[in-house]
Amino acid sequence: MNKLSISFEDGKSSYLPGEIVRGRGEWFLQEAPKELEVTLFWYTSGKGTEDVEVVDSLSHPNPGAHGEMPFSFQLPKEPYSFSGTYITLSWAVELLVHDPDDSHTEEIILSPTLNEILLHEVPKF
Amino acid sequence: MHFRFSTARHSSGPNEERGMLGKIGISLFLSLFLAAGLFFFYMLSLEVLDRAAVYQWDKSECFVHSSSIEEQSGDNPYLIRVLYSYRYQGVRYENTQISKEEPSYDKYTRASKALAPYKQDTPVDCYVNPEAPSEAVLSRDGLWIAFFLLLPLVFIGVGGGGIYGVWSASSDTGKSRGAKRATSRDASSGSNTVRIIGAIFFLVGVGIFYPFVVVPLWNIYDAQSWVPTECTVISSYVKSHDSDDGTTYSVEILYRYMFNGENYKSDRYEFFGGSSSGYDGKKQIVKQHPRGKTFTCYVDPDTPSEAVIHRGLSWMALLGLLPLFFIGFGLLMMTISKKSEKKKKSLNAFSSIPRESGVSAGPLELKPASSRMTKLFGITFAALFWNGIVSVFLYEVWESWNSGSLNIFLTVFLIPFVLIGIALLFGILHSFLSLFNPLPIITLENGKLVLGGEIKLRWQIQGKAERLAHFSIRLEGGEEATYTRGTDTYTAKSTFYRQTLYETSRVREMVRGEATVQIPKDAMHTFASSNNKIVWKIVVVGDIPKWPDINREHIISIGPMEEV
Repeated sequence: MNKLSISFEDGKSSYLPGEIVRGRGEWFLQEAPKELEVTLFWYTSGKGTEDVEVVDSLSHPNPGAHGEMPFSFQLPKEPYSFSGTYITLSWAVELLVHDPDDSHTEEIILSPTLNEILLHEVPKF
Repeated sequence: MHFRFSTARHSSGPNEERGMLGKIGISLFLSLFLAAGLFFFYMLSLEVLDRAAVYQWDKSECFVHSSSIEEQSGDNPYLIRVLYSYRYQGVRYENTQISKEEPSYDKYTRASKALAPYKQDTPVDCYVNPEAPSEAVLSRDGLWIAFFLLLPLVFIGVGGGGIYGVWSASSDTGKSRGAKRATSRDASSGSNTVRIIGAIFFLVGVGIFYPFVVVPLWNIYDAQSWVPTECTVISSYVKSHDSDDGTTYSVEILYRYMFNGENYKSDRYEFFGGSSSGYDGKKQIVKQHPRGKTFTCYVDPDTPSEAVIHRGLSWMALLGLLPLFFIGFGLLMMTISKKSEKKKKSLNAFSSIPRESGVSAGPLELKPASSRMTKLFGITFAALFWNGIVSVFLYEVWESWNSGSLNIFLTVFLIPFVLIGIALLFGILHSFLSLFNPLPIITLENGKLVLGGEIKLRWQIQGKAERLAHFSIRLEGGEEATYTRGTDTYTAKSTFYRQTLYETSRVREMVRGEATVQIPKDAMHTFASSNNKIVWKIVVVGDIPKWPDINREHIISIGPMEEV
């Protein structure tokens, strides 16, 4: 059975804009994958069609069937993590293995308040 | 795949789940389009291949022994007959086949034109089947019919593409985000499909427009120099054409004339042919041309077999608007797909470059999201397009009223279309009157706006501010989420922030002024990706009694906080 995990330094899951996300990815697979990478990305969800943007990624050339890989990503200043009536934008770090394909994702928050920005609909006129 | 997704916080989840029944229903409906398209494509292909096969036959010299036009009963009463002979590999053959299609015509003029190359006792080229030399034709049918293969392709595209769209949208769940990113990037293939369908509509429209509009218009122009000639009516009647949609009528007048010592016959009444409802008008024309009556027709001096009775425009020319619909619709689809692809390309890499403000921190005059002239042009074009098409059918209804045989189904069917057309006309009036509204000019003192900062703006109203009963400026922030359902695209909007900067009912205070407002710290900055946006705008509203109001939106960009 394959096992993938991601952990963040100091157990953090919320970051200020521009901060560095540090952590490590660990994998234990039945067979060595062809490729392994860790990506930092944001994605939208909600009523609108999903948009995804990979901001940064690190790859491990010869991963082996099990191991660990530290990562460090500089977060940009935007976009913030937010949740509104129709759109939610979330940040995440994903550990991806290729051939065999598998992945594991952990969400983080990017916000000046360290909390997801909440947007509430105001009544119409 | 292990992926933790935040729990649902919205009125609907991601990529709205469609019921299986709904998907099956839509697929069945679209499969009708697909089946019809495939059937007609197959039938047309057979015809094209059959015609194309003749192009492989050997060209040979034939001799025409006799040629004539015979009358028969039916919709195509004029049948041309040619008897010719030829030699192939030393063996003599005789034949009467002119082409693969039966050489019968609904109009004497057409039969006469088709017969013109095959004069008695003259040599002509013919085409012999090398595998069966007793089979030959005098003329090869044109392959232009292959052009019409585009028409069933539209149905195949709509049906097949729609079914694919319905089922592929839901198959995205379960993919890793990296794979999904590749999928969303490949969404430009959707734009290509729209562009192809648009191109097909455009080409079909042009293909119909040329022979049915351009050629008759050219003939009308050319006929102004034709020679007035005395003609005599051989026969005249109103011909009925029955179809599932009802009965239509056409004027059939066969007449003879002499030109340069030779006798000719023709049955062309006008250049825009076809039939339409409305019996009385045509009956009147036939009454004016009874058998034996002499009148003036117009003969082409270069081709005396060509003649016409009425060489001007007629109401039938309005049917030329129909191919314009195909052309316009096709251009619209191609333009929309190009714009949407451009937009996706520029947004795919997530750009936070503000629309209005940006690096510059100085004063900035705001432009509205769309100008008054653009709105007027847009709605005028839409109204002309819509009412142009509707007027063709409205004319048919009017003719049916006139003839006393009211087409009730068409009348009722047209009601909503006519109402939309009227609304569009009112829209033109509204947009036109808006051109004369006072014009508020908004200038931001500081072009660079950030969360937690402030907006300082000035305004000035050009024109008669005294016409305004009330004036207000407000800041709004909203979400815009775009999604597709089947083949349609929708945008859901929600406002999360609204703050009035200024409002007054005093004219003196409206003419010019300044206002400042704090931008909230805890809101979301301007954001734009392919399908989701956070939009901030300055909205200017001016109420004008008994006149279209001012309602202008100026998109601004508010960046993230400068210091955290």
